[in-house]
Amino acid sequence: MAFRTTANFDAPIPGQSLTAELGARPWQTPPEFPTIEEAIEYYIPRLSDANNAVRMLEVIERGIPLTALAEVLTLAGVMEGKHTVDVGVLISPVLVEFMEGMAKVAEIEYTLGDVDEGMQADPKLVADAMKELKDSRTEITKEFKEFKEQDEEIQPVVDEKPVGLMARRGE
Amino acid sequence: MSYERQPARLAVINMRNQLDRMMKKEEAKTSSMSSLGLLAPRQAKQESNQTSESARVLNYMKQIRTNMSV
Repeated sequence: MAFRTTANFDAPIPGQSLTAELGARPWQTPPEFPTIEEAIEYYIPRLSDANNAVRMLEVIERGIPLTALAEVLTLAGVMEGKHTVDVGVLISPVLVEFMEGMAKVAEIEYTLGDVDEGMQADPKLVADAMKELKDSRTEITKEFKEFKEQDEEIQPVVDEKPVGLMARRGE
Repeated sequence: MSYERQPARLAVINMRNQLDRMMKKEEAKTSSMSSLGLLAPRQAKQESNQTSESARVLNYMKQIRTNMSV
């Protein structure tokens, strides 16, 4: 069961989008790069630019997840009216792949951000559970051994041949 | 932090998993590929004709991964 972990009040005020003329905001105008290809062609040269690359690698080195970086980049692109939200979502994996490649080439440790930290179990709890499981396992094997020994001690029951009118002949 | 209001992050996770699976599949296919002729299956040709947006994204990701692998 998933629980809401974000703040309930961290949202726009109802009607906030109507406080400016329609089309006055960049994201309300037609996007500059409507296709995935055009958006990638806009981002990749910018990311691979020497000055930007150094700054970006510094940020990656600090431990900022690549997914968060891609999200920030695409969100800024949407706000500037460069591309639409759906193109931003679609190119995010490409940007992450590119940034990961750059980090690998520069031999920098990076965080991908694909693991949800909130969903990760506490390592101490996991260790305790594993210990408990190990103890119960040894108990089970001990009980199983005892049961097996008891089973071997029981004498096999000798089948008595049925004697009577209805008994089969020749067995 | 949860996946809520992070569609790009979820897209990254899903697409990367898909790419990993695709690359494994391709590796297996190239190792077992032997029949090339008129009667050979046309699966490879069909796959290259895919033009959906997700297929294009996967293709770009694959190109970047193969070209930037150290």
